[in-house]
Amino acid sequence: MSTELGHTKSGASLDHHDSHPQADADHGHHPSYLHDGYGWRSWLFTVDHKRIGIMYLVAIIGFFFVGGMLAGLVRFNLVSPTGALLDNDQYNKVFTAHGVVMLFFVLIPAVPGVMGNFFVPIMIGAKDMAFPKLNIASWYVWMLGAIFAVTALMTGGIDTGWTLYPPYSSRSSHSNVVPGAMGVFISGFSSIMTGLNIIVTVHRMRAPGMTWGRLPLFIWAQYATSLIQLLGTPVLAIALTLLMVETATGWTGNPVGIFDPALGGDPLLFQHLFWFYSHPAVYIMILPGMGVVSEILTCFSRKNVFGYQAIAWSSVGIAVVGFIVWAHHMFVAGISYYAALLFSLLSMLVAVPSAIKVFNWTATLYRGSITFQAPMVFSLGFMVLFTIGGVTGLFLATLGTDIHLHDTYFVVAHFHFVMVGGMVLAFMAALHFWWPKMTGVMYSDFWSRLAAIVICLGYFLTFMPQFYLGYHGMPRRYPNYPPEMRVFNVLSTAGYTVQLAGFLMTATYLALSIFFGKKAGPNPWGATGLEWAIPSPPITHNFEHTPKVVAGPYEYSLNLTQTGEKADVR
Amino acid sequence: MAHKDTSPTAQIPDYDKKEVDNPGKDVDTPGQIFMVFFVVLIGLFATIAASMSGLGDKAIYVHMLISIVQVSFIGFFWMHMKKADQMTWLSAGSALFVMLILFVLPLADFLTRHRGGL
Amino acid sequence: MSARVGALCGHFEDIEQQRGAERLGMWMFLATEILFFGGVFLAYTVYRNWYSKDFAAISSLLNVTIAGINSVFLLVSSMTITFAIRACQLGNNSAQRKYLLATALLGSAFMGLKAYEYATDYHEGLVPWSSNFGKETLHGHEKPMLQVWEEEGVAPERVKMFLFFYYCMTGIHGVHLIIGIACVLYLYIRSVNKSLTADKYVAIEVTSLYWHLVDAIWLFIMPLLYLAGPHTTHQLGL
Repeated sequence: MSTELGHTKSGASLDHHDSHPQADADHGHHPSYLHDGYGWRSWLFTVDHKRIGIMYLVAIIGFFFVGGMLAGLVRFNLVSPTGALLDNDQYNKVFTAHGVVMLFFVLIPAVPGVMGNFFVPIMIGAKDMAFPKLNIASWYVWMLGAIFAVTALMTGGIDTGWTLYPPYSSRSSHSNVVPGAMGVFISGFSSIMTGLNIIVTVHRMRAPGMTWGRLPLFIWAQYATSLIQLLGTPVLAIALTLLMVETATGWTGNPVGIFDPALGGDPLLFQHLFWFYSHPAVYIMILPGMGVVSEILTCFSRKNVFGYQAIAWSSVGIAVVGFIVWAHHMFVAGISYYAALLFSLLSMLVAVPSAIKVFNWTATLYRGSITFQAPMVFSLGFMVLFTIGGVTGLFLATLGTDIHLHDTYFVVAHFHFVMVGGMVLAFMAALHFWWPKMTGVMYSDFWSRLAAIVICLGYFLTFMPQFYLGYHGMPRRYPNYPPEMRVFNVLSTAGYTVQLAGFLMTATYLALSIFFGKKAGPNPWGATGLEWAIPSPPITHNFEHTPKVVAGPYEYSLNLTQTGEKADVR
Repeated sequence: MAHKDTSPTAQIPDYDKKEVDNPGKDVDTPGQIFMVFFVVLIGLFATIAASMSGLGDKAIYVHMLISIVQVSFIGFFWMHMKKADQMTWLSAGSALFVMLILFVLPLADFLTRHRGGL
Repeated sequence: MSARVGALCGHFEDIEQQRGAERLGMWMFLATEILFFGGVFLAYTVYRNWYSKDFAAISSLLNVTIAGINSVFLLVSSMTITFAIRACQLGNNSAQRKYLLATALLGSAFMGLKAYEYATDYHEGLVPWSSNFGKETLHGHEKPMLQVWEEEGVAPERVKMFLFFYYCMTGIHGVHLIIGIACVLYLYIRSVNKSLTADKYVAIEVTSLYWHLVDAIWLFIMPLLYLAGPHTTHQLGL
């Protein structure tokens, strides 16, 4: 590949990094990664972590659109107490498709796949991920999984809900459970590959001077996320494998049922294995978002982050504690009372590191010189909505209240506040924060702020009424409801349309910025991380010389970047 | 990109200059490899013998103990845990730790239920 | 992008950084493998605890002789691949080729015996989803197994569950072993081409890590499945 020589050169330049300015003369020779080769081959066969990040971004925007449309079908069906659009079977398939697409093809790969791939090597001063070929393989494997899953969902659909609980899924449901599970199984490999790559990169590829105490908090969060991806995903894989084999034995007419109570199996075993991954998976979704927010809040309040150590270790803490709380999904499913009590207690624990983060962010904001550009508005929205989502999570972790609230819209509202209000907002914040770095252009300031406010208000309007509905007993996954609950369902659907307007606005001004946007310059926000010390968009190997890191990640009070230069002052 | 770098340092990888790379400097001795082999082989015979010794239900404890010893030997010597850095120990350790969670917490449920399957 | 200079890929600063990254990457992958098998071991543990009598009854019908020989094959293959690393590090290409080939052959022998064992299991009516399940009369018994189990109070559903685990665990293990054999053969071809030189010994080392793990998992599968019930020496043909 034609990039090789430039590559080798920067590798060799390490020898000179004491007396380095040898290559200043050929600054102009390195094209940005976007202009380093054209045509579809240069993208589909790339091993550049930045291009892979962009490929993830394009795919995720596509899946987000599909998932969002499916959510719209659900919401508009619920405008009428008897179901406005779909029959019951279609409704089941639509909410399952919404869940599967949004979880496995948007939320889980969103920040690790896009921002993780793009920025982890840059933020630690590396030229690429540790395993570039594995990195591109992860995208292809993910797409293969997506093809399986989306084909299963579009040709006949799956009516079990995204949780695929047996024995319904393995025995009674005559829908595309096996190909759908296969798709999720395959996309799990992709998740493992990304996680493995990020962990090894963070361990082995840091630039000189980039100690653990100087890693940006986004890297800490990504690292913790990757740990969960590595250690959790295989358990889901085995659960799905057993489920698929069990389903397949049913086709032979001599079924074997390790999850089928009629044949001596225990469906709760599947739920244990499933949630052993799928509960930590919500931390796969939220942790990178927390990392993003840590970056943005410090940048836009021009203050050193408050409690660096606490935020960094709380990320690892969430990853560890996240593994021991899963059975709160199963309190009313028939697990033993003693285990339920234990898990209720353990579930409370995970609130501690999450709260540590929120308190430290608040303290970071305190007396900062805050400006309200779009990334900051999204991040503040994240803080508010995530806190609501987190606190209502405690209701559900409490054994007694969970029995009332389990499988109601209260749960739906809770996890949407965390997943959508938390994670999607964090993803939007990250996208707006790093858009100038990724594309080299700036989007409209006015429209982006407006869209951020519209989206935040839309979320609030969509999911706040659902707490009320759930508390008053409307079960999740039902296509119809008593007429007196109609006003809240209509409010929720109205909120959906507000969000939709906000996202369409975002799509419009971001697309326009690519063609008409102002040049962003290397450091439009005056931020301190290594990624802002290089041109926008970056060159293929990120750095002309291996950077030497001399400062912590958030020296806003000294106005210093991590390489010891002046960060821009606005 | 058709950029060609002709500077003399471009072709020379770092490790050639430092002359630190010597793949043969730290090899396993045949004696050690054979020693591990005999330990695991004896373990295998002991495993089969244990199941014929009339221990009945208790044999599984002996089996698992032997397997753990065998795997420890393989891990420590053949998989080079012996000369591995902290990170390797940490990744192996965290896998076993999460594995422990995976066993202990579900079994906390299964073993305290009122029913016992079919 | 893999601008290689010798064994060094362009995006690494030096060869030891690269080796460290490759080893760590494989160890991380092994961590996922441990948890992958951990899930099925957990499921097995739960049911073995509930249905220990039934599991013991069916486990005694499995072929311990083949399992024992296969274990030896795997252990020897683990030893030969360790010797292959040593040969590579010392730059002894011919020994390196021999050891790699021996490893692949031993792995294939394991799979061959396993295939034979599956075939006998099928003829003995030990495949739960086949139509002759439990209808054959096995050595040491006078009636078809379904009747024997009925008299002994062994539930056929539980027997089927055990066999489900037997096929899943040995099957998944076999898939891993086939992947391992393919990797070792690839290393063998590279050795024959003389392109797998001493400075690239980590390629063999990381493959050996995987191979050892597959071996280690077998060391747990073997007693759990084949030796779940009481055995007598004549089952070994002694």
